[in-house]
Amino acid sequence: MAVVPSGKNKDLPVSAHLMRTLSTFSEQPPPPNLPNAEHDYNVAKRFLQKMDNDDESVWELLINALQKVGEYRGEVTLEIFQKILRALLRKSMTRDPNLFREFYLKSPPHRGSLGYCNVYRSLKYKFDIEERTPDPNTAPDPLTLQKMKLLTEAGVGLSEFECYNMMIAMRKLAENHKIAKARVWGKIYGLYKNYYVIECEADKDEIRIAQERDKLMTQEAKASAAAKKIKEQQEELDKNVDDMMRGMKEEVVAIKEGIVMALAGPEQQIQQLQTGVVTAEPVDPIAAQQLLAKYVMPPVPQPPVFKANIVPPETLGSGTNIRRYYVANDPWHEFVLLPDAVPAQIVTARCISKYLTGDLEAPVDSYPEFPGVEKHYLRSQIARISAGTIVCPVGVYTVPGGEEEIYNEEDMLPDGYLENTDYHPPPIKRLVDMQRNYWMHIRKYILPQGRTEYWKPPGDEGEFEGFEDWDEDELRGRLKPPILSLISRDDSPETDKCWSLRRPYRTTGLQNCITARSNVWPGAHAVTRGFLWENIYVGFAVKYLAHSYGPPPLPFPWDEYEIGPEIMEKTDPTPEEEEAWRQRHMPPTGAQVAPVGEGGEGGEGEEEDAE
Amino acid sequence: MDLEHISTSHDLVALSGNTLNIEKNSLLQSSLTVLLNDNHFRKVYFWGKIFGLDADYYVAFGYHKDLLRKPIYYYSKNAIDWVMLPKPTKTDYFLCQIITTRFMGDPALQTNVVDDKPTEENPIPKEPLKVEERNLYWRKHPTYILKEEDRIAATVKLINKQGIVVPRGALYKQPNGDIVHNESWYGMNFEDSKLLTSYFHFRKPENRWDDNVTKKINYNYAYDFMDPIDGDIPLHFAWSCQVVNTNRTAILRSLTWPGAISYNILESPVWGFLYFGPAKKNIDIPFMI
Repeated sequence: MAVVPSGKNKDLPVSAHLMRTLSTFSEQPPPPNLPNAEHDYNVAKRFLQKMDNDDESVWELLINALQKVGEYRGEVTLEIFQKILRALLRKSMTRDPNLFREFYLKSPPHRGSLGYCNVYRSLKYKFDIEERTPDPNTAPDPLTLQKMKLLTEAGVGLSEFECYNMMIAMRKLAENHKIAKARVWGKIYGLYKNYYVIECEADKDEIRIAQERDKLMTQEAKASAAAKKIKEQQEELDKNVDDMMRGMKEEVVAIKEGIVMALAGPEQQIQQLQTGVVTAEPVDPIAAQQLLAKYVMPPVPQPPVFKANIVPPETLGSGTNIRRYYVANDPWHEFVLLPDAVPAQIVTARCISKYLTGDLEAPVDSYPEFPGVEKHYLRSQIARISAGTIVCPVGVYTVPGGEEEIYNEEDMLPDGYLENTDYHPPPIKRLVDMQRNYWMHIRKYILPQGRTEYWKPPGDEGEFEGFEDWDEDELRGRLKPPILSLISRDDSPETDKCWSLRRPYRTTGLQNCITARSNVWPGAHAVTRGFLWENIYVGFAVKYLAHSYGPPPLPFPWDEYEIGPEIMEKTDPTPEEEEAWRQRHMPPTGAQVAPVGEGGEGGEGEEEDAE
Repeated sequence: MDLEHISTSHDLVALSGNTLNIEKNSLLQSSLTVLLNDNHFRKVYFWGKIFGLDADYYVAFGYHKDLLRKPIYYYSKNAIDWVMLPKPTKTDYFLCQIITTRFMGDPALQTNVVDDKPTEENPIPKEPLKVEERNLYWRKHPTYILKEEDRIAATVKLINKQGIVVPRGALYKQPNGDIVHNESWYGMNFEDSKLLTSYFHFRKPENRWDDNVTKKINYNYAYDFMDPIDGDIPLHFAWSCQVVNTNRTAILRSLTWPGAISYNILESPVWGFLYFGPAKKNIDIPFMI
């Protein structure tokens, strides 16, 4: 601010140095030795208007300052002028938000926020002052928010924003689809996107239709339908193999012809020597083929035929498919129904360990090969996690005991137990007990077969009556724990204790809540407080492996040929033996005619296929 | 997580799948403030929680002058009484990587890591034959007992080294060489937050300094002295980078140490990292991607 030029002044003392600087801006240099006021003014103005990095110039600052001075009421002292300048400078130091984005691009949060707004708007629910408690069979759990808050207090779960939006999403889902007893199952992290999972029961009509269809299909038909599907897949594979093999077949033909030519030559020579007639005719191809027919080729090896026993999936409304799952990447996205769980997929999912990507149609590259895409894998993992980690305090549900006990058929839940109308929460002391005897599993155990009920393969002749021979049952994967078994019975080779029980609050008294954290599936939690209890899973959907993952070993390679004398290893004949063989096979000369082909049968390491 | 942010960032903690309830929030905020004053720290951070089978450990750290070189770590079982973590030895680092049991929740617990101890018939050779063998420190000083306290110290350091990142510019190297947090940093923008080149390992730089600097076009000596994470193996699958909460929060999950998250609310100075988990390194990533 040292240079304040006033161009009007003709006697402006401009130093030679400044003059040189300014002259670089001018297009038309003034005639030398002649002062030109207008030109000097323009040059000085341009110098002051030079922008710095922040698009600000001294000129603008001064203009603003002078404007403020003009607006100022009262005498402008030096102090006041300094104040004005300082205020202006401070204003120019504030960071301007991204101008470009503000005007030409939507801000990044815009799209998601718009999606949420649409979800909130599209809800049909209207508040009615006389509304009764909603029917639990159609509306989602009315206690959702309370339960989510309980989870959050217990040290697990979603943020409050997510909790609310999941509640809204469930409500919307219940309006658009026929679902019952919806609840938030949890959140699964993927590599690129996450999954929010809603669990619900299918509509009763749908279950009835599925059951009727299932009755019509006999067991064999089911198996054959599944086998047919596998066969189709296999055919498709074979077609690809055929394409590959076509080139190889041509090669085989060429090789065969080569053998014919090679064999025909020496045979002819022998004939010539024997008969003494020299024929110069070319090889007759037909004769050569006949000649080749003498040599018996080994049969082409065929792959062994496997009898595939496809375990049929359980029908909707029973076993692993009692519940259905809807997933979405964000609570405002459209929730997508996952396909039903299939035993083959569950069995394969147990052998592999994969991260999810966030795309339902992404392929699952694994060994052993997973039969399906990511949505099937996700469904299998959800089935496994639910079976292993959904627990509740003892007494919430009961099994009807004894034959005399009367209960209503309607009250029976699809899992095979009743809701206990007389439930009293166990004392807190018991719930955090090291014995872990006051929590129970409420989902059915999945057998190694991939079903909750054992399916007898058609070829299995043995009559299975259940729990007759425990050792054999366990060996063949038919043994399962009874429903509502206690978590103290859980056992895993990966950890010493499958469950860790915690008190999230040290200080509060009776209203204390208890958390059960699964150590087998990191991220699975169960929480209870008073009469409320809830489960959630938040994690990568990967099982805890103490000794790290090892893929199953590769199968043994198949034998290319049958092991026989043709391909056995033998010692090569010595030069002497070869010479002896040659002597014996010489064409007859003179009177002594040795019969051709009289090979030594003593087996002195001679070639056996010599004719 | 910065001590100053603990009370306001429930939702950020929830990104890790775990939350701190009102009681734990209050306890941490008060006890860490006391810790800061007692030790004359410049800043104190809440590091996270290690899940044990019987009890959990809360871990926090503070620094006087240099955040990367001389942070002082503390652990606590009840989030009130903080105990300084010992300095782990090379043996501890080695043993804590091969141990297969879980944390139990008892700092004084001593675990025998290796079952096949040397016997009279097969003693460990006094003079190792191979170079690789010589590098194993414990071959010379065979110790197989790992105390859980040492294990926490070594694991925390390892997680910092491999599983935790800071956004570019959040840490700042002063002219005298001290590395401190950058008061005037105002956050990443949306475009940068999706690039792995804009995150750095939370550790003393291990690469050559000119390697790190020349990777950036607009390099800055004060920021770019740290190791960027875009070269971690397996390439592109060592981290899961997402922008969540309707594109407001950038979050980076480590796949090597599942449970470690680093976050930054875009265009705001709120950044941090947290670890909630069983402190088990995931070496199965090649099978899992």
